[in-house]
Amino acid sequence: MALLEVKNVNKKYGNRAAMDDVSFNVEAGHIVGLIGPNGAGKSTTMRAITGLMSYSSGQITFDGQPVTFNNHSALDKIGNLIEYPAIYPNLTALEHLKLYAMDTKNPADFKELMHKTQIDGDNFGKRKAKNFSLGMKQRLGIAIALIRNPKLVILDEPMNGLDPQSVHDLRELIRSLAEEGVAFLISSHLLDELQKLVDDVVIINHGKIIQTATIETFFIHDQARWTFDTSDNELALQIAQDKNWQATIDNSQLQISGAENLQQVITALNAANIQIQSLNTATGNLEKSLLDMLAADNQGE
Amino acid sequence: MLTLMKQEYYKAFKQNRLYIWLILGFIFPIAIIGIFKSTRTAGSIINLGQSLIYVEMAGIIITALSISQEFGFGTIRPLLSRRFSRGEVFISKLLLNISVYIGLFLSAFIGTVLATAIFAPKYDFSQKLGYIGNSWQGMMISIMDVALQMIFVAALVLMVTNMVKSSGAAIGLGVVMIVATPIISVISLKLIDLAPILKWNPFNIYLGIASIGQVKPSIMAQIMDMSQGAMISAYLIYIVLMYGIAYLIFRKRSV
Repeated sequence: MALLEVKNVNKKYGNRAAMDDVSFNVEAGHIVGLIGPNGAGKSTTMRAITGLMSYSSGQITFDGQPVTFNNHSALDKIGNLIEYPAIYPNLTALEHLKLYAMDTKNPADFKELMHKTQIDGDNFGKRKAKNFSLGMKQRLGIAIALIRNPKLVILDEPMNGLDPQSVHDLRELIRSLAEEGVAFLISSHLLDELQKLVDDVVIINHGKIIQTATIETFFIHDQARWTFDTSDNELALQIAQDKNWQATIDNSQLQISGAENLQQVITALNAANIQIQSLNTATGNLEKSLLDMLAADNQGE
Repeated sequence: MLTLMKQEYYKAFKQNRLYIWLILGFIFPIAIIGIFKSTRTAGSIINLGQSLIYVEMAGIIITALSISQEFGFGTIRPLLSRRFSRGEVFISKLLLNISVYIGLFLSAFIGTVLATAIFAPKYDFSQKLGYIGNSWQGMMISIMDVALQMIFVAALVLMVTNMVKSSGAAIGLGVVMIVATPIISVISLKLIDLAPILKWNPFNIYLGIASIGQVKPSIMAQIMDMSQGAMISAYLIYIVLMYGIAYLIFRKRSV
């Protein structure tokens, strides 16, 4: 049984469907990216999971217990940072952790958590949160989401305001917690960062889930894409097209995709006595894949 | 519930604002009685050196901010996405507000007694003051009367705060309820002119309650055309209704 199960959840604002039969699961120890354009329903979905918003039909269960607008008993083990960090301007970082830790009998170790989320430096100390920078607030928000030793952490745009080093450190922290069994549901517009982090992706558009997949299967089509410089690019293009592969010449570079594997392409070019002078393998690109998928979804409407 | 209360007190005690309110509540009667000799009388002392209006204002502002600030800071989300029900969160806010009201009354009371001891050392608190009893009893009646008004205005403020998620409008309304008695009185009289049954309108009842301690109960019954018991019962019904509406709005609100 998945740790979090979202089954056929619907939510409407007037005539507009904010959640249209939304279903997906989050397994323990998995990092799931919830991806979609602005207004796609990411935050709405997160708010429904955290009991902040009612939904008209469907079911959300966490650890086997239902989560609804009026039933929050399962929420003890869910940490969240939705939209912006929940910070009281007159409290210091440590006071925030003490405040939010009152909820639980087994909170995270304050010192360790502060160190992991980098809120233990000289910049923090006795300073009130109203004097924190955006990045400092964001790091504190993440620490608050982790204070109750949650089984699931929901992070909405967690990399907002973080410098590259902090983004890297956050990624490492999330990975290490996931290895300990903590599940993450993360939304972010920084798709390159998300790509480095997530195990599974859930793509949402207009309130509807358009794909759920592991990150490997998500890129399965993109992975078979190579860029060549050959002794005769025009002939190579012709050969590729004859074999029904997708092939184009762009900036004197031949791009081929759609073949089963690289060896198949090399064999075909060798058979025509075409010499390969350089070769690059393109890796899957979440941004490109997402844009292609959204374009296809929008066209289909 | 205990956890929620602990958290509410923790947040309140970490705010300088709370101490400023309480210190001002203490200083206000000392300043008034110390500066204005004319206030060293029974009438002023039983009204805690005229500081009750300050206590009422402070209470209204604290009530309005108690919920609107959570929306403003964005802290309402973690507050409501925990195992606690919205009812428990709402009650914890009310209990905190009541605690602060008690603190305000206490600081004003202590300030008044101290100011009287310093500036009017010969004042006799046990001296009888007509039908209300001695000065101690007079002070208690004044405090109870203002507390009743505060609970009413606070309910109204809480209802408006929950409707508009803004403390400004709610505080404005609260201040009007406290200082603009003549306006409320006119509205109330107009309503009663329309139909005598409207003597039960909330403004009229509020004004009646505000006059307890200033007018004899028998005269009050004549003016209000209802007994003091009936007036207090109607008042309590309005309070329950307004807190109920405030809670329903709070309970339904998506955040």
